Amino acid sequence: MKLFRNALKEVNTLLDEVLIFSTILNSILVFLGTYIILMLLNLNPWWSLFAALGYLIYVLHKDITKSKLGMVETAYAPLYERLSTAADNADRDNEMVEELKKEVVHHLHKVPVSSFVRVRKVSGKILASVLLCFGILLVAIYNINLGALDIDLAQSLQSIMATGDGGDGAGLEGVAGQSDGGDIFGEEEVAELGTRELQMTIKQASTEVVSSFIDDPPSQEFEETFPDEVFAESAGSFEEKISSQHQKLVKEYFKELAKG
Amino acid sequence: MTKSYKPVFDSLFKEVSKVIVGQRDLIEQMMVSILCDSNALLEGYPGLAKTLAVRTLSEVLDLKYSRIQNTPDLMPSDITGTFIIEESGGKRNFRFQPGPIFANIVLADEINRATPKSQSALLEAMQEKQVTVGDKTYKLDLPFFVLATQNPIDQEGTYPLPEAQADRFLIKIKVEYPNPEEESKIIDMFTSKSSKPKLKKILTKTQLLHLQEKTREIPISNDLKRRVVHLIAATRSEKALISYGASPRASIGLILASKARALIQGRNFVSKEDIDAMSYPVLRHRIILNFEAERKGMSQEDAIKQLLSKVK
Repeated sequence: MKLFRNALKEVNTLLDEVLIFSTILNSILVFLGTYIILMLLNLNPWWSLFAALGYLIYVLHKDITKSKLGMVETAYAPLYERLSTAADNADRDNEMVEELKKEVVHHLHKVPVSSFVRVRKVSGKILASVLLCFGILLVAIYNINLGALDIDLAQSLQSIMATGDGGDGAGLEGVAGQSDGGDIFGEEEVAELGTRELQMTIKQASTEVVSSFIDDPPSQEFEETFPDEVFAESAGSFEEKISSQHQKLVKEYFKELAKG
Repeated sequence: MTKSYKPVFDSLFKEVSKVIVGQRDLIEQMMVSILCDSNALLEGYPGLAKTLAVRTLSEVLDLKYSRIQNTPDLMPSDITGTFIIEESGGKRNFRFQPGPIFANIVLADEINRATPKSQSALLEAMQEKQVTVGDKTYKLDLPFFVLATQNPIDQEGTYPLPEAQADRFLIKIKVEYPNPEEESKIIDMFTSKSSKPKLKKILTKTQLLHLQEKTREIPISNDLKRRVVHLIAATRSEKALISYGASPRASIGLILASKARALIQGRNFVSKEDIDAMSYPVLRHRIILNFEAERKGMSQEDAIKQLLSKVK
């Protein structure tokens, strides 16, 4: 029965498309979610691409091997067990099977595509993607970084415990870092700069250049701030007026001096 | 088309209910056995209308009915028939006198009272639909079914059916006591003046053979086939409960019985519900519980229920 085979093919194609769409949408969410987390942790956010790709491959593989007919049977009760039975016996040719195939095709016409696409869920996912995009922009612009909030919990707890004892007269300074009877300036090794190289990068908030923001430089008037005592009266040049006789005499003097 | 069979079965059950009050499962399972062209073993306490049910069904189906009352001194020839000497024209000839097995529905009453020799005389008839007497083989008239009964009590002087012979019965039907309302109806029916109700014939032999063909045509999904195979395999592997499991004959029987049930229910496909419902009558006489299960007071039904919940 060609009609039945075509109906089965159509069901499989349609459900494949629905599943692929849903998986791609989920992968985008995974990508954006991981991206923002990695940004907040001050790690390279492009690693999220691997997470999204991994998810996409795993779920697509799972979806492709999934029984599409089972999905239709679950979505539309009158087809429950009928559809899979008819599909499994598609090659058999007898009165009972033919009748079952006709029934299945009749019921398949009544199955709405909306049974497999939950509009509310898809809208929610799209909205979540948009919000995540905004989140990424905010994190980038304001340079929000969870690394800055890195608190050594163990150390803090230890300090609080020490404060609770109150044995060595440690007050609030204990919380500030005094742990073993040192001064209020905290750990000495923290204060030492040492000889290790420290590489610092200033995170770029944005690389965009907006031409509309470029104006002509404002005209600036300079005030004279030199003191009154300092002034130039006139400009002139200086020329030596020494007689050639004196010049010769000095020359000879230095020659004799050099010999001696 | 299939839906048109449902009214046929409904009217059949209605007709039988004129004589048999309640016992819907008994009648339905006997019909399953008949549609599968197989035999059934009925087990129940005395007085539960087992014999009457079989006789009524044969009337409604317009089939030739015979009854064999099994006793320890019953001989195989009493079942199959024998050669008798006949005189005609001054000559003596041997003529074959068919036994009660030559019928469409044979009720083997209290089969466990017959000796193993007589019990095995039924085997060839049940399996091959033929009997061999001397050097001659006689084909039995189709359709042919053996519906045997046995009592679960009063086991003294009985010969319990060997496993190999019990396996030849497609299903073992447990006949339960009627509920109080049904029992009240039974009392009214059989103690009042009213005459025996006249039963209509719902199906003819030809129609019954056609329905047997249709039963085998009913499709079943691969998932359900797998479920049946796993279930039967589980009866062999579940050593914590069962010491002796079911054979592949049980797999064939379960699928066939499920198809027959689907037809009776007016469906043109086998459902999981059919498999689950028919697992009990098909498997209960094919599994032997181990000592541990018996010690816990479990029945075959409990074991089957447990297996059904485990198998996907």
